[in-house]
Amino acid sequence: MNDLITLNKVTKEYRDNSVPVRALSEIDLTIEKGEFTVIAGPSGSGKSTLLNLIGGLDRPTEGTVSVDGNDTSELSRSELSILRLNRIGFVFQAYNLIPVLTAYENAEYVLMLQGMHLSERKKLILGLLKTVGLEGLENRYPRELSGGQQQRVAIARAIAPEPRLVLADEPTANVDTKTSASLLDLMEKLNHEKDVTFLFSTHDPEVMERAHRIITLRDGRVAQDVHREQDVAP
Amino acid sequence: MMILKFAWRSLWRNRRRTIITISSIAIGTTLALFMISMADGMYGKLVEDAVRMNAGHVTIEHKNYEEAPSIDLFVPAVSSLEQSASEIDGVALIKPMIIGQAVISTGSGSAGAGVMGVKPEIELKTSPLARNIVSGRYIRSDDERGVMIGAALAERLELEPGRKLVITTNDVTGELVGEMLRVNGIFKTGMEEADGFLVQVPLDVARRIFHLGPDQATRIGLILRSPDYQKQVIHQLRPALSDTELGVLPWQEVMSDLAGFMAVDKGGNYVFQGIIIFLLSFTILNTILMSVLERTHEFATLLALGTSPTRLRLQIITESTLLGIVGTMVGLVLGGSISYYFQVNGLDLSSLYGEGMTITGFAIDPVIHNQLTLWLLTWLGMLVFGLTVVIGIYPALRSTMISIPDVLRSR
Repeated sequence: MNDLITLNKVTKEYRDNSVPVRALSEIDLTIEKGEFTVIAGPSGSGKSTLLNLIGGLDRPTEGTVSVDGNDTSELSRSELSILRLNRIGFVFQAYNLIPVLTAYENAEYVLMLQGMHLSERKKLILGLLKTVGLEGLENRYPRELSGGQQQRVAIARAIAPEPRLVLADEPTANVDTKTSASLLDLMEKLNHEKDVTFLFSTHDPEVMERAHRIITLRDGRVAQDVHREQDVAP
Repeated sequence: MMILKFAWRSLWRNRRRTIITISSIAIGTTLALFMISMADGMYGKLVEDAVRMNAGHVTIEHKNYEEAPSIDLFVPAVSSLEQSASEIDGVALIKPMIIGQAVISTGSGSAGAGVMGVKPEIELKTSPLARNIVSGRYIRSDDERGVMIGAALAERLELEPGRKLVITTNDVTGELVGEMLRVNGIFKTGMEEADGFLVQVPLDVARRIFHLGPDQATRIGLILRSPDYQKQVIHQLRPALSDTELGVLPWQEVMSDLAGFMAVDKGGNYVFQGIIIFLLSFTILNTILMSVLERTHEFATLLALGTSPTRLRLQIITESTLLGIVGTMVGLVLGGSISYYFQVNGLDLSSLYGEGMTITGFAIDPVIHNQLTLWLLTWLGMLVFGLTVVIGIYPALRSTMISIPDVLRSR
């Protein structure tokens, strides 16, 4: 059994001004450990909703979402927090760094919540910030960093605890091509070396180019699910 | 540690708002501290003067004396009671007294008066009356016919030191008696009742006038080292006198008018302070709530990253705790310094109230010395600080009442 994520007849409805809106309809989906998968589709197709359900940020109206063996519908708010903390990394399109924390502290935050020892944290974060090209910028606050630099910090924060799964919502939308390529290199490397599963919601062709699998959503349903052959790291 | 750092930095994200809030807490604390310590100082001095001039912090008298003060309801065996009382911890001075009513007559007319027989050597140590001689000198124990008279009464009867007067009264048996005395000195306390109605004579002279025995008095007043000893002294005395006709009363029962007025006035003060603190609490609530409502996106991110709701709430409460600590400390230092300054130097309100301010007949010194105590600093500090922390609870709860995907999507 190598499944990391299992969606079983998942439906999600919202109420928009009292009018029910169906964002996802009876989605059946399985994502295995180590996948580098893109969720594609036009705006409003349900990509972000799907990511929110998988990330335990939201609950399905119908059906079940299982992440690493945990049925998110059955978990309490606190248990969902623990699941996110220990298993899932998030990369947001708008970076979502904490403005009162420095680049170092932002990247360190999740490790600190996990209770990792200070010296261990320091070594890991300094190394990681160096890897993402932010050496020397550790003490800068988000407002003192460019969009690309902020996204690197966000990625460092997401991958620092080496989660089972990284959910990335348009991670390259606000960065230049060169930065985008280096960030994807980093995530790909982590995918190969640490077997971290990446699930992207994106329109970026470069991300799609690197994906092992592209799931296309349309009107809240899986319209296409394409597995692609990729070079597998030794 | 991270929560503390996070909270502290979050507070200073909006520097102006935080400074305004801290200032509000500090000013509220300062104002409350100053006003309470001023009232305590004013009432403390008033009570001290009143109890020292009258029957002490604790009074021993006949059980029926308060209901119908009469010379025949006297305390027997005064000296043995003095001996017993002197052995109680906290008792500084013991003043046996004889209090009666009389008519004072001179060639210029007559007037009703209260006669107070006292031990002059003790009065000199305690009573403000003995310190406010405007003419002549204070009486001595061996003045066989000496009398002190209030300035207003002296003016009415055209008396001055050296002049004679006749006291007419009923003695302990109810017989009408009279005694010729000579004015030793005139006092002016600023208290209408004392200055216009009171005469003081040595205790033995009063015994002679009222035909009381050498070991008898109508009251024994106990002056304590501090009012804090009052309950303890009463507690020790009452069992010893339970089989006698004597009672032990706190000054609040002996001077019930004064105690009642003070209780009402203090209550009013506390209501006023309460209103200030209540309004202050809205400022604090507004600041913390605003700070929470404008950071929902940040909170949604923190929750998405795995921060537990409890931890997030704790962070908000830490913010209000820090606001409370800083604001309260600044307020205590500022209010404490101002209060201490006026405790040492006094606040002269004579231009505001004039010289003759009285409460239920007792004069208030127009120069008010605040009374700053560690207890006041502690309870007021704890109250304001505690209030700030409690106020932080609602915003803390609000911080986690968000839909993470909705908030993250909203940007």
